[in-house]
Amino acid sequence: MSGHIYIDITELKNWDGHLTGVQRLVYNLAKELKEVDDRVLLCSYNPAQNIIQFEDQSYFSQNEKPRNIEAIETSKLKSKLTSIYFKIPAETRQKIPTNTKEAIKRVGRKTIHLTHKTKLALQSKSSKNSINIQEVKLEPNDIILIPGRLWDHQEFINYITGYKEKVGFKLAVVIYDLVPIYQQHTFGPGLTDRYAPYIFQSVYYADLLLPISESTKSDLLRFSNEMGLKVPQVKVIRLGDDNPSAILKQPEIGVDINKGFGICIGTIEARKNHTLIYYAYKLAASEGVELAPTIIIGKPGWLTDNIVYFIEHDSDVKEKIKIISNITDAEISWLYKNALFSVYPSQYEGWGLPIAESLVYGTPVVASNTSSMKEISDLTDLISPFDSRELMERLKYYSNKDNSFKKRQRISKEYSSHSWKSLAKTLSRVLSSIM
Amino acid sequence: MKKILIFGSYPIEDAQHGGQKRVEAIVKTYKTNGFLVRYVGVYDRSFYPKTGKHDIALHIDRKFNLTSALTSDMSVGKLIYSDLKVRGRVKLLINEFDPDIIEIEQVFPYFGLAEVLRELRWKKPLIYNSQNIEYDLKDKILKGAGVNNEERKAIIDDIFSLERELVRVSNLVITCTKSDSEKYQSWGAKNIVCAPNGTSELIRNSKLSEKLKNEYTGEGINKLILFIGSAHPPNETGFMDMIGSKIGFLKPDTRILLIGGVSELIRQRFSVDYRQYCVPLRVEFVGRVSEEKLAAFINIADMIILPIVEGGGSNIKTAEALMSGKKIVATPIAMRSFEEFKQYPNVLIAKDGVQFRDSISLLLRSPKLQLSNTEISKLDSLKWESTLLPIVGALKEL
Repeated sequence: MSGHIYIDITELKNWDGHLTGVQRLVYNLAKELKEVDDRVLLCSYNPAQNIIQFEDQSYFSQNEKPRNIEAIETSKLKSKLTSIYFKIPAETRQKIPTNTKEAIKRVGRKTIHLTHKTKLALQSKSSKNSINIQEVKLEPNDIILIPGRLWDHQEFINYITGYKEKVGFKLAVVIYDLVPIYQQHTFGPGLTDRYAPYIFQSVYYADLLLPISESTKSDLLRFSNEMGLKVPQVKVIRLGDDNPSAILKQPEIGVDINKGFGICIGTIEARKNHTLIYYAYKLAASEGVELAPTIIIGKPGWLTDNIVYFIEHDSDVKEKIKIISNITDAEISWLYKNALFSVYPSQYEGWGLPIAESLVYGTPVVASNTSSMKEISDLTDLISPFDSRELMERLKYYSNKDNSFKKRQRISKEYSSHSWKSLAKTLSRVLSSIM
Repeated sequence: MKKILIFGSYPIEDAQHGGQKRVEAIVKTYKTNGFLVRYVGVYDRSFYPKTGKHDIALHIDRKFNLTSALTSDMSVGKLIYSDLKVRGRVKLLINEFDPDIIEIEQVFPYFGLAEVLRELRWKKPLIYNSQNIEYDLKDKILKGAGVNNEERKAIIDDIFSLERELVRVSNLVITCTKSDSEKYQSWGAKNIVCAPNGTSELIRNSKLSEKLKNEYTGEGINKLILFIGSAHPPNETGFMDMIGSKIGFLKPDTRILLIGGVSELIRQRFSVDYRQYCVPLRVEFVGRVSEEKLAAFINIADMIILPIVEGGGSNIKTAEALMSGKKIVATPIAMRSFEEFKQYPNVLIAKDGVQFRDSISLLLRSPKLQLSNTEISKLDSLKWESTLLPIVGALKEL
């Protein structure tokens, strides 16, 4: 007898606002799989009762993603804490010793964690009596696919691994990257300690691993070898990029749009290497090279105080690089459509969604020649993430509207987007093979 | 009553590592056989907290680096002559005790004692009690630690010539293995006796054992594998070569317990990267424990592993593991001088890491293995009383 394919959408229940990388994948993958495979059932982990529960199977039939009040509040709290920190003048932030910054970060995390726990406890009190919660009883011929951030839910890891040991159902896990393991320095402390055990447990228990790039697969195999783990079936999946927002809205970006501009989308964090953009513009200023300005769209994260300060205060670049955040999907679409180029100089990635997105919009994209970024398309202009001259030259080239236009035409002609539906169909077949 | 004065490079109070345990057993055997024995350890006190009555524990003010730490036995040995105070104390000890025989444990005290004995015109019997071919072992340790070739060669040449001299001048050379005996024979040793390492009876403390067992079972851990070792660098090398971070072959209910000084060495090896967070999923860094607790761990263990890949002599841990009757996975080197036990049903020999880990899995899956009566009685030959017996005979003939 054929079993069911359960997709865990806990990630969506704990998230609100703009869907970024992981949440976007969970949303699109679960939605499309549900449409193409009638064995698919939606579920989520209920930490209050320590069970996997059925979710509303019509979850995706609404146009808008249902909003989860607790998630909104947690997300708001995180935003609030971050914004409080960034209200401290940059000059003062500069003077805070690193260990004090880490302490602030820990207090912030703890506050969010405690708030979340308190909410769960309250939720538990009411949900214990709830008649709507229905526990999922997994059978040996069932599969559960976990596409979310399992590493943030240790209790879920304990539950699912213990349950699998008892029942023996099949487990499939999407692996995004091994950056916290092999590029540990690009994070502050406090992620590798749970991320590395999560990858270990995933390789040990999973029947199917789904890395999102060949580069991630290669890291996964390296990790498995180093830890002496037997590798289960591995299938690289290519993320979809076919659902750009049809609505366009021009945002306020602080530069003259008629003169042209470039964009760089993604959180400002050390690994994303915005420093290279800064140096490319410094180099251009010192050599009298004219570059179109670049708009960085993303919130400042940790370990980036110095570069944000430099960009905001260096008279050579402050009119050439702008940082904006809190942008809607429609505004992002407008920016892609109208930019001369997009730039993504990250040091290391598990995939590199902004590169694929750029190509979907036809925008020329300059990205690093490392890790997964070189797999995305031959149409990407690859540069070394450590060479500011190389980046300056590429930006100079695309600052010319004719060059940008020609590349746009070529991308529009040659780039085929990858649909989430096609991924869902492939995945449905792969999941069947392990049932 | 004949008097024997023994010089070593460590104390034997609260014996922890193999060398200490062997000397402790030797002193006990001599005493049991009617000799008057005095033991003098000369060592750097920063390495050993406990001191014996006649020990010379030195406070050495020196620049601390890896090479100096790995050769402290040599430098302390040299101080026996070069430091006037130490030389004076040693001479006084010899004159006051007026021994009939002087025994030197390992070669290192002889760095200074050679000159002291010449000045005292020592003509009575001298015994060299070797635990390894020392120059060879030190060479491997220094190589493993990455000490540069020039520095290493100078150190090794120094030990090599001293060890050869000691072998030639000694009236009796005691070894742990037949192969060491053959080596010393080729160097011109006059009189050699081989006395392999042994073990004492295992202490049984069922209350403590039960408490420990319950603690592990309560955490869902049902299989325990022990690796017991001192902070002797080859112990670390052996574990890293045979298992290292490749712990993924173990089931979640299994733990390797690292007991003794080796635990900290291995923990430090993993502390530099992500492995510090994954290795504890299957490995517990227990560290140093009391003899009583060690015995309790052995009692509740399912298996003892002996991942020894270098070093001479015979391994006391092997004797202890065999005596325990537990399942054992060992390297061929770990079984040196215990060859007759290789065929025991509870023993698997593995030559490399892959074989070693496969053997652990295989043996863990197998049912509890019962030794025959003959096999059990043969284990008596592992006790110190048996293994050290040849020395007593040789001593009486001196």
